[in-house]
Amino acid sequence: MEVLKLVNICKSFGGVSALNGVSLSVKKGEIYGIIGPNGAGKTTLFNVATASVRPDSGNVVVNDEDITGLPPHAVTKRGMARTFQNIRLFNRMTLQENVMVGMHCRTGSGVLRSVLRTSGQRSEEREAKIRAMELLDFVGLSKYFGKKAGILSYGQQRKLEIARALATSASILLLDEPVAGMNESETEDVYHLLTAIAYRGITIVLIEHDMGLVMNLCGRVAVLDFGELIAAGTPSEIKVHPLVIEAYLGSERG
Amino acid sequence: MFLNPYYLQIGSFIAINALLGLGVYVTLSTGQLSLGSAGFMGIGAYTSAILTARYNYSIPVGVVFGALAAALSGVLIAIPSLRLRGVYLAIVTLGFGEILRVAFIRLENLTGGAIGFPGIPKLGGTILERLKASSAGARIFSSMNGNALESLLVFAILLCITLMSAAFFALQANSRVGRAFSSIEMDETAAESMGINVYYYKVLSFTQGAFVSGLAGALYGHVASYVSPADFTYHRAVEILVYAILGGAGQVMGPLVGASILTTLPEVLRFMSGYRHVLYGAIIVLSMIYRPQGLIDSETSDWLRKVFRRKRFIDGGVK
Repeated sequence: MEVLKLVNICKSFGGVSALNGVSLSVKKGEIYGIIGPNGAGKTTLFNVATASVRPDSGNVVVNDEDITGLPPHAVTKRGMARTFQNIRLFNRMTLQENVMVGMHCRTGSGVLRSVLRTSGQRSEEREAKIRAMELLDFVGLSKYFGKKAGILSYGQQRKLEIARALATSASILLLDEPVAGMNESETEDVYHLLTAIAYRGITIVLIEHDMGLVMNLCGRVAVLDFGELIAAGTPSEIKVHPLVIEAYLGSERG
Repeated sequence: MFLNPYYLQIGSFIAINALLGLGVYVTLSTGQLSLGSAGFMGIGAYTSAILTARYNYSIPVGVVFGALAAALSGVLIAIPSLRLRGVYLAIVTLGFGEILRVAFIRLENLTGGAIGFPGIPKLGGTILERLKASSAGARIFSSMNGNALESLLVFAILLCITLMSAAFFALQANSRVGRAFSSIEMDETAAESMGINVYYYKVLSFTQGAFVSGLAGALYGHVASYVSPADFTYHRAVEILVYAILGGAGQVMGPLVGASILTTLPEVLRFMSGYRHVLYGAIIVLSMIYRPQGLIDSETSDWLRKVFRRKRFIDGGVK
């Protein structure tokens, strides 16, 4: 079953075409890789998928519902969450609070219930705290739960961002370069983390430049170049695809 | 000494200014810099003044409707202008305040124009009359100085309202709504992508700020018994902003401390006569240089909380 479908997405910024008729579909539970040279339009594709950028044409379908034109928070509520290429944590909040922000759309206490501290609000808050600890434990950061997110190392911040995205109870996770700037052992950590997330039945779409990670982890890979989808298939097919080799290494004639 | 009407009046103005500072605090808690507080204050003051002086509604009714009128205009301002951020929003709200000030002058039939609106029912006087009307009240209060008692009552009521508002915002800050507010303040894009309806929460915090400013304005009218457009100028809006910033706009305690210091300071410096405003300004400049985050930041507020907790614990232990 396809949980995420991008249909014929076009987007240009001031006459420069960033995405030109890109279509792809992601099946439930798979780990789907998106690769391509810098500036190929990968992050724009994520921005369109999560509705933070509205496409000029084309549709985004999540769990059989067309979400094109919805605001980003509504997309999150429909089960798709993301991380950012340039980490965007709430640095002056604690780790636990960061994760609890992720649960916002799954909890419901408004101003009145919050200020009156009703029993419903208190039990909701208690459960959110426990669940935040579970998620921090899952990504291996629970011992820092009361520390401010800003003090974490780069690699730890990426993991916290994943925990925060998981807190939205997303069934589809879009990860924008989850191992960028990480050393080998940190990358291996994330590899195991992503495997564990996929094992929970969560679909993962990831943009990544680390080819080792992509080839080992992803069931299918799509390749973007100059805003166009030039190839899609299994890692072994992609590796030998002539257009992909040309995009990365240049053509013989070039 | 505590019954000295002069001190009590300063106390009342501290409470009102603290309330105004809280309005800035809650608006800033979603990262929105508003200079509209004097305008909202004016809406609250005139609404309540008109309702009570012209239409004989009771003061509580006037005050509540004054605050609601300010909140309503807050929503109306918020909806188109919250797409703007930072200094641009500040300029729009500044313009809004100026429009209101001119409107207060021009709408002479309603507001009395530039001459002002005199004869607003006094908060203390009304309550005192009621108390004296009851036989028990008459026995207790007849012996006391009426003027001092009135000031004391006003101060007690304003202090209650301010502390209750502060408690409201403190409870809200430490909740799902408060986390949404501060996530928006720190990173709007990330907050939106975490499923937070950024627009809704920004309008909410702006409206809460307008409500509290309107409340303070309405109360101010019933304390001073006279308001004029000169009370709600751009200068006033900046003064209110300084209460929150100097005290520490990140914490509920901040505006309370800031308003207390800055309201007391001109009185304490009275001996310097003409030069007191120079020193007043110098103190603001110095404290901003040495403590740009405000007097109360998250560390001092944590520390205060800890001290308070320990004290409570010892009290409990002695019993």
